[in-house]
Amino acid sequence: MRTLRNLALFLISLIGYQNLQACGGWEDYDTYFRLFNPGYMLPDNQFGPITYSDEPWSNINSWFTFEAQHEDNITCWKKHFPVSFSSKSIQDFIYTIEVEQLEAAREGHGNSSNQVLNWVKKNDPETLTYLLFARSCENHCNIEPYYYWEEKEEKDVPSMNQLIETGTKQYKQCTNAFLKQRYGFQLVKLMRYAGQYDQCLNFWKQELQTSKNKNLIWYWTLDHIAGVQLLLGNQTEGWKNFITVFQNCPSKRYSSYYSIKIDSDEAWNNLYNACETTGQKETMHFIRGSHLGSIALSDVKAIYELNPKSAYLPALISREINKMESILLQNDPDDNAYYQLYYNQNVINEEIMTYAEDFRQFLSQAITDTKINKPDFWKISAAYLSFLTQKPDNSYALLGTLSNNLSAGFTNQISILKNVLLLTNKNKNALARQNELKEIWNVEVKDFAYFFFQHPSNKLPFPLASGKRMYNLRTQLDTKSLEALVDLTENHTQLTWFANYMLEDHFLPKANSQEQAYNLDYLNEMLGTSYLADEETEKAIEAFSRLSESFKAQNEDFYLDYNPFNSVMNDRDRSSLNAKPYSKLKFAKTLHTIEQVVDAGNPTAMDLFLLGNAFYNSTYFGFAWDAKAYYHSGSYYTGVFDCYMARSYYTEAAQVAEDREMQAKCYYMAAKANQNLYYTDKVSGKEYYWIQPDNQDSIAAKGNRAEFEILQNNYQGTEFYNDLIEECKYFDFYIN
Amino acid sequence: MIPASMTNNHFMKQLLLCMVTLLALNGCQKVPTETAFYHWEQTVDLQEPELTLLEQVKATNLYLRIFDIDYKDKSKAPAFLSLVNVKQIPPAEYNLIPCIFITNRSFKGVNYPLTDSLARRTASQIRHLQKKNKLSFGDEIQIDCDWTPSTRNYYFAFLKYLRDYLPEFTTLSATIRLHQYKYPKKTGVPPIDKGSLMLYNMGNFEKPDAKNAIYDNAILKQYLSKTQQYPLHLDIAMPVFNWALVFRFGKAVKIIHNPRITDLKENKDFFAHQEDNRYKVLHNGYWQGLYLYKGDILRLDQVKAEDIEKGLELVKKQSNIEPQRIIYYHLFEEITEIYSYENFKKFSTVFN
Repeated sequence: MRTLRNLALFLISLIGYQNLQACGGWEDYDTYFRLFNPGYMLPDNQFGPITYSDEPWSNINSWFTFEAQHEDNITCWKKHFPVSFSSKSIQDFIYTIEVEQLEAAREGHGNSSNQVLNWVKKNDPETLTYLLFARSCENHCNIEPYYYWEEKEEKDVPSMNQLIETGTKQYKQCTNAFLKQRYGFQLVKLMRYAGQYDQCLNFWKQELQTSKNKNLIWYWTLDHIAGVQLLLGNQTEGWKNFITVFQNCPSKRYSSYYSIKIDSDEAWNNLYNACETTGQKETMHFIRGSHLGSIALSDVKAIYELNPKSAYLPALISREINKMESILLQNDPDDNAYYQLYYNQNVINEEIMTYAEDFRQFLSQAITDTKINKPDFWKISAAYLSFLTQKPDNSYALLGTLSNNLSAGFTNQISILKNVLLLTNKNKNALARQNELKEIWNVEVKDFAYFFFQHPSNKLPFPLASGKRMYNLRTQLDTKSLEALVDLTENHTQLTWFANYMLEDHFLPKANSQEQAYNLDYLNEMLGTSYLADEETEKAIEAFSRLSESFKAQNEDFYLDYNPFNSVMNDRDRSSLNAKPYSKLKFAKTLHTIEQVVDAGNPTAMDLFLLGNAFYNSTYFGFAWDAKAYYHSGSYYTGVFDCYMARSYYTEAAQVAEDREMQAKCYYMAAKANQNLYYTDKVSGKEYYWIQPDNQDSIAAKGNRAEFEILQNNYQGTEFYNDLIEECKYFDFYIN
Repeated sequence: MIPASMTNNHFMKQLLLCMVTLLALNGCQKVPTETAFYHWEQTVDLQEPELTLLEQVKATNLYLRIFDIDYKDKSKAPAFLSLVNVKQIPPAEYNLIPCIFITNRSFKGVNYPLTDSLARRTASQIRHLQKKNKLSFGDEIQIDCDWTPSTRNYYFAFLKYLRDYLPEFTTLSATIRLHQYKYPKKTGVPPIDKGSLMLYNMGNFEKPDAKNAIYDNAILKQYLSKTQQYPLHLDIAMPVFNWALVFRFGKAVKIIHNPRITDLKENKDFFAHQEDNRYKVLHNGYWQGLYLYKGDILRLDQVKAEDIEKGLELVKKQSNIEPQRIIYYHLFEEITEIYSYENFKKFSTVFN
């Protein structure tokens, strides 16, 4: 609720900006219905980070995590040791144990709680020597500050060169293939960061490139080599190697993905021609097709031509379908191309419709050609695109060709698709569709169903299609909607299944048919309150009288904290009031009784004063504001805030009263109402927030100090007047 | 010896009156509005057309973007990006005013200690770049950030911290967007010495049917007010640049800065000219580093010289703004292919 209120405030705050277009001032987001779920369609998607999202490319970062790199590395180290160690022990050994501790272990000193270190100390000093060397390299190779507040250190090239010399010796002396390869990796990295590019490439070519063991470290090394090649201006070779890294080394996909920055047809062709395998070419298309803002169909087709079974295809297809959804299924009917075409035969975005159709045709052709992997994926995708392009017969036909053993994910996706196909089925009338949904209902289509059925042709009774929810009504009472909701709840058996579902989901506090009595009480309590706000006292009494005793006993909204017929001098000081629950029914009845007396003529000053109190206190400014509202904003006027009636009754009471003290009191209360009128008139409505502190003279100039003037001129010397000067700073300021 | 005539009281009175009048006249004389430029490119290497333009229009102040602050791919916090690369130090006669662009999102999800830390690091980065590139900055520094209500407090705090960390800069200025100028109570007024009111980026990028997203005098008119006095002195920043917006599926997806206009007009194999300033891509391919798709629409947005002149006149007539400087955004090698020296001279005459 708080979030919604904040959202409402935020939206209201934008109103002032909407007429002007210069940049800045707000952050807006497009929202759309996402009915094609990559989680269902590609459960083990190794290319998940390219999934289309609302925040493009934030998810690509998941390809870069130290944790992922560490995990891969730890797995390799596990295989290196002849004894079994826990991942945690290995992780601590490699990454966290202090260098001093490692050095002490190498010298045969010190004890450690780390099992790996203890074992290595006794059995594998070569590993210990390597790890110390690797740690030394880290100091030089990770010099970019990760956080901006970290100090950036300058490169110490002489030390790096010294380390390269030491490392080269150790590399040559090392007899263990596992460690030797890692020495090679550290040396390549060091040479790169020391700027020894040629030396780095030579070392790679002579020592490492032709290794038969192309494992994790080999690809990590190649990642650096590719970087060096780019630095030397050999883009084609560098990119080609990055492609190899991307294909084979998931923990380095992030850097390789972003390092391939092709910017011309010539560069593309050079790289394409340099590719030695179709896999490399597929990767080129995959990377280009998955870039931000891409239109992937041409790259998807190219991959398909190269390899119809390519693992890249499902990832790109899924991404592309989500992208099409994001444009076709916008959540505003005016921008929703599907909605506009369906109901108004209005093509609002021909480009995307054409593209979706082209894509659908490509998928259909691929299915027909039967060269693909996982045909069910392709068929469900094509069926979904058929729905998007409003070819439901194609969708149903494709769904009829699916295999029998479908995964849980596919089954879920099909269920979603069947729901949307039913709710958009033009061969059935709206009421039949709304009832049939019960049999196949999938809650994931809920929001789209609400959106889609809001069109008048679907005959959803008011206010179900109004776009309102209960929180809207709690924030701003609407008698018409509440009357309709009471009626719908009383006659819910006559509603379609979907209308009932929507009624419960949007408006009823307890979504359970067993709780209809409670729901009715809840709605009647709101309706009574809304009538009070409308000054329909008799109707309010009627609505409140319908409430069950059990509801009244447990519902706090039905009670006010104080007797609303009392008055206070200072609205913010309620110390003089006696806190005691006062029911809204009692309020309505008492109000009605006094109103009848007043209507009958010759009311007493007290009658009028009490009415003034009732009207004043139940406005935004009074302590009984909750008699006529459920939401009280601290930033703008909510509920009932018009003090006109209160002022009228107070003024009339003052005129009828014979006692000067009573007259003064009435005029003062009228003055309070008048001051509030100044503020509410000033903002002309309630669409404003944060009124600037006002000059008191301007309040007087506008005529909103009339009662202060009367008090000053006529009531000096009364007890009330003297109290007032002490209590009311406004009045004190006015007369002084 | 004082000549006898000089001792004459009448003469002395006249002389005194004359001197007072001259002094008063001198005091009332309007200080000419200066011409300045933003240099927003990463590499500083002013070429002959740029230097000639600066000389011709007597621009002595150069607002030099030296880095951006934003989230980088891997960074979990805002980082210093696109650091300036000074290939050739601008001639010494130019007063260099360092500018830093900070994205609004850099102030999201932060707190005051982090903001303080960012300001401290920003100050040290400025000094580092100054030293590394042997640049000599003047006494002003400018910050560019399109803050929003959710980031205002931290951005303003950042400015205060930055002022403390950079005492050598006696003037702290910042860019002010038109909506910030129009609604100072709602958007807040940054704690700075003066602002540069940005009179560009007015249009809606999202609307493919809009004529120009850079500048529109009709929109400018809506923002200018004769009665409202902005609480800070404002210089004005005028657009002298162009871009091509790439529309795909009806939405603007990319911006191509400094598009090769001749290529757009003459490469008929790749572009088909549609109405006005629109060009359709005829087949997939790379252009100016971007991969474009068949059917993409490129809209070339640029501001006519007469519109700039008219805009300056609007500012003069319809607002309380009395700029000391008109800063043109931005200086680049091909600028004189779009605006001539004569254009700039004409712009200057509006306020002088």
